[in-house]
Amino acid sequence: MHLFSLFFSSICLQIRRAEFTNYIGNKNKSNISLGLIICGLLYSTGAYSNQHTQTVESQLTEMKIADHNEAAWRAFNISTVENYIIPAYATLAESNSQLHATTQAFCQSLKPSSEAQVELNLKSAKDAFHQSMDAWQYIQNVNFGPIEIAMRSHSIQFWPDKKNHIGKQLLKLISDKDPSALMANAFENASVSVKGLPAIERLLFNDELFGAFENKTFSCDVLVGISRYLMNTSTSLHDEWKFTMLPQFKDAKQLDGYFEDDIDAATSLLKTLVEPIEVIRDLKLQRPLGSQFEKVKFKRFESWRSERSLKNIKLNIQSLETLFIGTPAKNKGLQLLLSDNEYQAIKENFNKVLNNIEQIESPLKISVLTPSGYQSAEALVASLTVLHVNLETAITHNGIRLGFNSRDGD
Amino acid sequence: MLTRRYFIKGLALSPLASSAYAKSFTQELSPLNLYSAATDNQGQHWLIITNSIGEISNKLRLPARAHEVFKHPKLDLLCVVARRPGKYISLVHAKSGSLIKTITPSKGRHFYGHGLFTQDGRFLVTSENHIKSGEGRITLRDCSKDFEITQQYPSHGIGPHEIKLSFDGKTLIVANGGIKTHENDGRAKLNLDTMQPTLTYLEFSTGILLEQRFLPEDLHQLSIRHIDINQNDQVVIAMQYQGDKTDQVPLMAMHTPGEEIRFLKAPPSTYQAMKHYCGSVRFDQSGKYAATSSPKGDLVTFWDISKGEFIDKARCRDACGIAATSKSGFIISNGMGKLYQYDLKQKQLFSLATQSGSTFYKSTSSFANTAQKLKMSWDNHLSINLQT
Repeated sequence: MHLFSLFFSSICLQIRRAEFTNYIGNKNKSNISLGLIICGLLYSTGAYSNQHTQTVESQLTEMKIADHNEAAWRAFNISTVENYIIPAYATLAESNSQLHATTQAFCQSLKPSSEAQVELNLKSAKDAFHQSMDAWQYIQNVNFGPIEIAMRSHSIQFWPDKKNHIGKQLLKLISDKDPSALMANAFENASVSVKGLPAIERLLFNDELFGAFENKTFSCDVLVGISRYLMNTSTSLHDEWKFTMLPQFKDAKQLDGYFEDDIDAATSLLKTLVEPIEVIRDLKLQRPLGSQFEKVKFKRFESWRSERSLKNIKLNIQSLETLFIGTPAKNKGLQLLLSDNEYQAIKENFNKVLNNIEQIESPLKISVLTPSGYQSAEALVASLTVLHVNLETAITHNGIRLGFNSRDGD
Repeated sequence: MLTRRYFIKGLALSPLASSAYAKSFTQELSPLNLYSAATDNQGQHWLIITNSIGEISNKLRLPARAHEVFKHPKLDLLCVVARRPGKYISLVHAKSGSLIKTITPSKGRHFYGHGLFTQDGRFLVTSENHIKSGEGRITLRDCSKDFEITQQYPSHGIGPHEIKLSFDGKTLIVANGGIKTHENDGRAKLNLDTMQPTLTYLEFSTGILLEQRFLPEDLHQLSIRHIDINQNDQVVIAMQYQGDKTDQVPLMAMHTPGEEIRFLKAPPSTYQAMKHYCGSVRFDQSGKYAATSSPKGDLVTFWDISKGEFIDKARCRDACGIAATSKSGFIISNGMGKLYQYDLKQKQLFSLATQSGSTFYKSTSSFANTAQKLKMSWDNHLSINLQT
């Protein structure tokens, strides 16, 4: 304590010297009293602070799991990218190629073919749209990396569309009949609202404005143009993940790399597991459900025109479950990185969410109009919250901080 | 397909530049001290004082989560303001980290996490809430009279957050966030439909309202939360959007006294990437440029205030605290307990702790006594003391 007294006395002198030399000239008298107050308090609090200092020093020895587990996280990262992300983008690219081919076939069949043939080709195009949307919903959670470039995520699916941008832009595009809007790369530069899956959905699923293709070859050309853009973009996404992103995960500490280290890379992947659950709950369910039964707004559901709102959610959750569990033959997901209890509990939470989805009748836009259907949707909201909280807690507990400043901000 | 170079560098996604540069910058920086609140992985709250490379020189356990920390202009005295609804201010010795005095708010009040010392060192000024009415208050405490309250006046708005003084010290600028919070917890938001944030200029000595600026009606849910002021009394404003998650809104603005608030121009994708949230904003030493953090978007953005537009961005996970260095740049802190330096000339983000070794990780692992190693998260705001 003697040492401390000596130390703090000298600090008090310092403070007082500073006051005398350069502090508000006419206030010297009261400044001395401030100095004295401060000195007095320093004596009484020195021991307090020192004690806490030691508490922290002792924590130094307590190196947490993540530091030791860097290699394990790296293995998880590489396996997740190789066996989950890249194959999912490959499926998206294939589906969109198929969509492009079928829309082309449909448009070519408009003039010379029989009505039955046109119907058949329209059905193929609709099926292809569903395949593409399935593939997109499965990888929608990955919101970092190549998808961030040039608003690709919005371009593939502009949703929610509160101000009906898609309707307005699409109508303008079709009524302008400007051939340059159909040139090879025209859709690269078009508004984000007209070059994605929701625009195709409007064209194919009998929207009042765009439903009839007969004698409207221009709208059909727009349809083909959008699917060409989707094909090109998803092929690029796949290639960029394969050739640019994967090496970043294999050597996360490389200079001028995308990540700082393996933990940073794992954090990016784990955020794509945890954060989408809130998005699904808030945007895909709670926003259309409103605050109470009487306030349902079914047009706020995602993909309500093609009646696949519930299927989208199911695919989202199945995808997250695969990211969590891994693909059995090739990787073990988070199994090796969480405790057995945590892992089992979260697996149960996933089951509960998927069971709740099964309880709801599709299409969602109809089933939530009954009290029991609305309740089932609310039960799904609740189980998503539990899943979100438990996942986040388990991941934090195992040494990965998904965010501190990013939540409950000020 | 985009080339790797375009992909990694062209989009400013690269978090760290090579260590050779970083080394020279770190040396230019010292000597300095950094002050910030932090929270450890046990949920305990601390004031942390570090040297120029982020090594902790002192720490003090705090009774609850804190927000802004700022140094007295003449004394070795730090002021730590509790996060809203703040129930304490800790006055701490800037070198030893010892608690000197605790100030509690008057009955029926709480602090909002921000404050300042007047340039002459005489007054401690804080933004406060009159809990019953929900009206903002500004309180002046006299440092030379044991921090006795000598003046109080309305902030002319709800939820006053960050406050700044004009260059001549005669005008107090208040960011009235506009959000009324619940009496009981001080955080639940009650008036999002009707909120009306303002940028308010008050005569410092009297509290007389000199100028008040509102946002356009359709953007009334942009909470004016954090501000900074430059040598020409221009104010940069970093906002937080309380409206629909899907809205596309600007988040940065500037204001010159006597004029309207002007939004800063940025590509829609940039504002979108900021995720409706700015955590902290600071001018650089020249007052021409500003940096703001968007922890929800893992992004720091840089702005040319003279041109009123966005200039650069850097990916930085959970980044929030920002402080201007003596050179043209900033120090940035994040929730992973890391510190970074951004250089405006090179447009590069460097790890501050990089001193030796060839990569970030190797170099930081050689410093045991850092917030990162202690599993601490740097809290929202970072302060710098350029003198020793």
